[in-house]
Amino acid sequence: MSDLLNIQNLEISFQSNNKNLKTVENFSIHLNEKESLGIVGESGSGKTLSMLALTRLLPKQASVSSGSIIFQNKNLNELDNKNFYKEISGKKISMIFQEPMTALNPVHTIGKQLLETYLYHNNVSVEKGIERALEILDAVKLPKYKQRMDQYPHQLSGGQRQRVMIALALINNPSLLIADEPTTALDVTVQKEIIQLISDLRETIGMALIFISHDLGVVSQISDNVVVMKNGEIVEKGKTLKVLEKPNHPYTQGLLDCLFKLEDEQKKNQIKDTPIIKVKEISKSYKLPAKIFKKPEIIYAVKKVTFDVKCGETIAIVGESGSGKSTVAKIINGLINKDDGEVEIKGQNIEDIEISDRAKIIQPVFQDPYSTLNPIHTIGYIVSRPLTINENKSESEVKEEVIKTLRLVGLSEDYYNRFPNQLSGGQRQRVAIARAIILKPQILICDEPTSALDVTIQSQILDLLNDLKTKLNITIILISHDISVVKYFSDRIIVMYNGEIIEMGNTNNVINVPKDKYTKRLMSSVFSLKKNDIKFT
Amino acid sequence: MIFKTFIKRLFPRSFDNEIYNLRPKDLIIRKSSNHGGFKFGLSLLIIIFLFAIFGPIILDVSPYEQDLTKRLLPPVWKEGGSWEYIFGTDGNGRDYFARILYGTRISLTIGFGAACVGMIIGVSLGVCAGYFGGWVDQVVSYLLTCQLALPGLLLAMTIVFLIGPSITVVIFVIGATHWAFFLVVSRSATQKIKSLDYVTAASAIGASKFQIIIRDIIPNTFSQIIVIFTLEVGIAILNEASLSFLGVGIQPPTPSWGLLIAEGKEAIFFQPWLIILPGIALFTLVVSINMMGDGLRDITDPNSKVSEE
Amino acid sequence: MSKLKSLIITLLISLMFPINVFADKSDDTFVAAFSRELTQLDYHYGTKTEFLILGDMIDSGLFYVNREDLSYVPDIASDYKIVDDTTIDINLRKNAKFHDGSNVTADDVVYTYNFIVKNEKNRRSKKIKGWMESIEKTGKHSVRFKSKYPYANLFNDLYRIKIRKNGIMGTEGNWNDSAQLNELNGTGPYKVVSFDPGVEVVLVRNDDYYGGPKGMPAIKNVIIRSIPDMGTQQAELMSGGIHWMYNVKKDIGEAMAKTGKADYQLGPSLRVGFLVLDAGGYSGEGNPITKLDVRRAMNHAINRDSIAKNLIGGPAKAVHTACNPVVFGCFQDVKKYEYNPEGAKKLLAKAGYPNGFDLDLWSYRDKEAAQAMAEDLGKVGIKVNLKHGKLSALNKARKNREIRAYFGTWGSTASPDTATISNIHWRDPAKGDRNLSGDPKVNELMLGAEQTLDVEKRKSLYAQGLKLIADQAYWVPLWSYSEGVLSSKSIDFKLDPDGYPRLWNITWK
Repeated sequence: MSDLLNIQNLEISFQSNNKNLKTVENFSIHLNEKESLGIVGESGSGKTLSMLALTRLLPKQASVSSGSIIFQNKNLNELDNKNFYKEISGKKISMIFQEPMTALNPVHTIGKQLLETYLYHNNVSVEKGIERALEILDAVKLPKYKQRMDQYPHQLSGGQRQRVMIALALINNPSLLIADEPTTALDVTVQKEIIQLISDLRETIGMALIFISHDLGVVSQISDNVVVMKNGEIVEKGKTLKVLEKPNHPYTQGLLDCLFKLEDEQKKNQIKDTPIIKVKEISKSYKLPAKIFKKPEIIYAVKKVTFDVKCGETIAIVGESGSGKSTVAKIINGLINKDDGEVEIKGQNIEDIEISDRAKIIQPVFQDPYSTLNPIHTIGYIVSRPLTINENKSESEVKEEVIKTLRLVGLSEDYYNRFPNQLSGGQRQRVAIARAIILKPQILICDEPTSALDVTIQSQILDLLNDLKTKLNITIILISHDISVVKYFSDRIIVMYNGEIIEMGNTNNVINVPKDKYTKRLMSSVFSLKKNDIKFT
Repeated sequence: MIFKTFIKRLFPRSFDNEIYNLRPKDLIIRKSSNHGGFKFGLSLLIIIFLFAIFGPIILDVSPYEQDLTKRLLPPVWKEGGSWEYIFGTDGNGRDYFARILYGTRISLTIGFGAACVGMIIGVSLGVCAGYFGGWVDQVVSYLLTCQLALPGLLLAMTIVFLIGPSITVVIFVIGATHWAFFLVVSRSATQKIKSLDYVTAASAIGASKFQIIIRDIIPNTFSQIIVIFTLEVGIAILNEASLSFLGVGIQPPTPSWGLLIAEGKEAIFFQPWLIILPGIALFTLVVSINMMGDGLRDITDPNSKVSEE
Repeated sequence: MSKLKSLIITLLISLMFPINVFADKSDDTFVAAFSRELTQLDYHYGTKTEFLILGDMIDSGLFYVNREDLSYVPDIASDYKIVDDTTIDINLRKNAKFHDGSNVTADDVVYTYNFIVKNEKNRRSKKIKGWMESIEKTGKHSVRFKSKYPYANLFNDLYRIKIRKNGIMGTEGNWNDSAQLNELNGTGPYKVVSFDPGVEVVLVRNDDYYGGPKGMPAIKNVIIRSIPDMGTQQAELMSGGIHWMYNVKKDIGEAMAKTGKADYQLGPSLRVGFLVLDAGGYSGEGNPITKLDVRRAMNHAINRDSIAKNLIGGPAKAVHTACNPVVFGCFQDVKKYEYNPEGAKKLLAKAGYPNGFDLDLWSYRDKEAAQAMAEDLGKVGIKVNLKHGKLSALNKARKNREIRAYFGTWGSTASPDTATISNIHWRDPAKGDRNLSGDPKVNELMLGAEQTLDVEKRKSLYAQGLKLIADQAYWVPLWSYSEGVLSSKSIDFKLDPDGYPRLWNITWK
């Protein structure tokens, strides 16, 4: 196989008021034709930037300060922009991005966008263009593709849009496809299909692939070689199998540890038999306002959900987006009113519990660390607020309690007077947890508490939650779409789909021996790395 | 520049640390010290403010004292002018410089007063509409439509005419006809903020709706409200000038700039300074406020980047 | 923008504005500007001076005020005979014609006066009805008037009422008030060519005019334009759009004259200014104005000489009587209040207001003078809230008895007799709202003086009345005005001693 791409010592710098910050240094990769390469790293590692440099899509302030890019034995640096966009970009090198929602132009039909790309690079008639467009839509397995040609992006689902984006990228038969986290924003089951699609298309078209992701599991499924980046530099590279089995760099080792840790069994709490939460046949529906020419639609978010949570247990609610898991969590927390059914907490109907009492029993932890804290309040104020609202302690008592709680979540006293924008994502999530536990609640509802965090931070937060679980003997309801986290953390799993409970049972049973068809599909979509047995599809 | 050093002295912490380590307040100060338009507008406005507050105290001139033998004297730079009356005198022999100086107080008082009234009305309605939604939102939207449909100046004129002109009435009338912007901005900001996690967290920890509005929602709308506020001050000042010009605003002998223009209108050919000088004053004040407001809008834009220095 | 486009746009814009005809001597057209709008042509339905000026150009009455000595001379009338105290016989000239060509006869005169008396909507009705007993035709060109009492100001009314053609205003019970509003069939030296209400009226010389005391006008075409804004009038005069403007203040007139583009005359006027005080307590019992010392204090507080000299200029000067010193009956030996702020303060303290009091002072003209007076009053402790607005607002407030003190003026245009100003200001309160004195004696004296023809008796009654008014300080008499006229260099205009502009006497230079 001949050389396709050779990048040597690429360096990217950011211009910032007469200062040059090097964000990517010493970036060198080599790719043969039809080969696939995975670039792995956490946020800020430079994995996306380096590829943007290749496709000349860098933001205004960034520029390539040194290094060479040789593609098909031609030095790309010598090409001016006009020729680059005509000859290379979109034609020989294509790129697909993460967000299917914003990647397509909302005011043009699918067909028009496909045509535009094809006709720009190929001097053919419109009929030929349409023919080709239909061909490629079929190839990406877009259902009802003939009708889709005249539809607009908003009429397609996320997965379908991603297929269209892949079609756009492949319509000109590129030699190299760069995929930047193409499945991160998609549901787990769809994720698997898209990865499979890319893999298959690669075979049929015979193109090289660079796959960027933070998810080692996904990368391991699709790339021959892998490159690990940290802080703008490559820390490890080599054949995927080798790197995963015997990583050289401690960072890579750390990443793997975080993943494998979740494979271990860990100590379970003392679970009492008495149910602390009883959920009986709760339902919640939303009415969309009636529009002209449209009947009012009703969306059934939660349909007759029933389950119990025992005191001291950790129960996980798993499902894809739209399954109703967050709604159930909010209903149990008393933040949303249900339409039907009953929720009992410690024997009392949730509607009968006073708000301040409820706050002392059950508290939420949210997903997005960047919107979970009020940016104008200090950390101290945020964590002390539950106390000042619900209890009559003196100022010094409150401050003492807050500092104690901060220490409990691993933050020093210094953080008391800081503001959220001065903290990292992981630190913010710790503050959110501190806020949740300061009233010493017996139940914590964690709605995707680590999904927005990097892998290493994720494991830290999970450790923290584990720690608190044993120390304070809290019952936890965990909502997640990440099966490995669920497996590590919970005693029981509830699987939800379309507002209903599909399957419920012990973690191990549900994961390893799923009964329902959907559960089976869900579990098999997870790309897991077993320590001694790396699986490929 | 001088400004920068001055600000650095006042707020040293804003310039010490790396950007990511700055408190929100310091971030804003850092950004504002780099924005040319904001600096210019603010400096000019401060000068005008100082003039308005201390001018009458330091300078011993009276805007009311008439000397009928010294009518219509030209300003010092024209033939026949003298340093005794820098800006000349008006038709009643009153010191024009004093009239314009005291007029600054009127314009500033009414401008800021009316903008405050508008802000209180608009933000209260907007936050309630955005937070509670439902029928509250419907009612408020209806009120907004009514307000937008009414011709503002005409309505103001009518009300002032019926109640009787005075500074307080003018402030309230202008404020009560200019709250639409505030409402729209605070309503949409509230709707955005309401969906954020920290608001949900606040109700989870037991905060009452009132507490949430006061502590979580309104403070986070400040940056947008303050921009509207500065722009509305300029609008209110010009409105008052219009009302006084038409005779339904400030009454003589109080020296509102609009009134000065109305009184000098007849003499436009032979004593044009009677109109030009208050006109320049109005222009300068409104321009400085607008530049400051524009700057504020750029500074508080969450997408704007801070440059390090 | 393409050239064609800009041309079209310029054309369209220029079509929007009426083309200004720069009329002048070459086409024998004289253009005058009035500040206040001429909303209609019929003098009987308006009171502003502007209507009288126009009325004299296009209409005539039985008598006319001679410009040289301000005496009454026959106009439509040819001569008259006073039969007794309440009867007068009048002969009409035989060559007076209406603009439509028909001759003026006794029928027209009788019809006119009956119409005035019987139709309540016209503005002269009350006044004429007050004295006229009857009018009868005594021949084809003669009539006889009978009055209810010996009426002193008879000739002024016979001047004011303009003769209308028999039947033109409708019939009793079916009057047509708008008959002559937009077109006029008059008898005056000018005919109406066209009339755009509120904008302009175009006149042409009546070549069939009988002559009379007004004389044949020299200028053939006259356009009178309504231009409310003083600044615009100045611009028009400077650019040649108009030849004449009046009510021009001293500052503007002198400055304009300095530019050499116009002549400025600041002459005497019969107009006087005064403050009317609510001595009778109509606006509130026991209010400060009801106290004599307070009213006297106000008289002492105001520096009339300074205001008259500095703000008005010309022959304007302070007056101390409720009338213009040059007119008949204006007795001058009354109590005079010299400018004395200290004395004023003492009087206020004596009246129980050592720290002064608040006062709403209403005004509708001469803003600078109003502010100057407010300042003067302020200096002695009376904190004035100046309510400067439109005349209609003031009239309304006065009718509602809200006014405690107001600044007014009275033109007495072309009527050099005290009766003109006193008739309306000292009427029985039941018949009008201007008499705020609350003193029936004033009404008795001042109106009694016009109900006899005995000159000496009249003088004596006026003397007593004016003395009473000054003594009790029912008014603060202020000053007599000057009349300022700016005229272009191409016309020859002389201001008459009563300040009344007789536009039919203008000639080209």
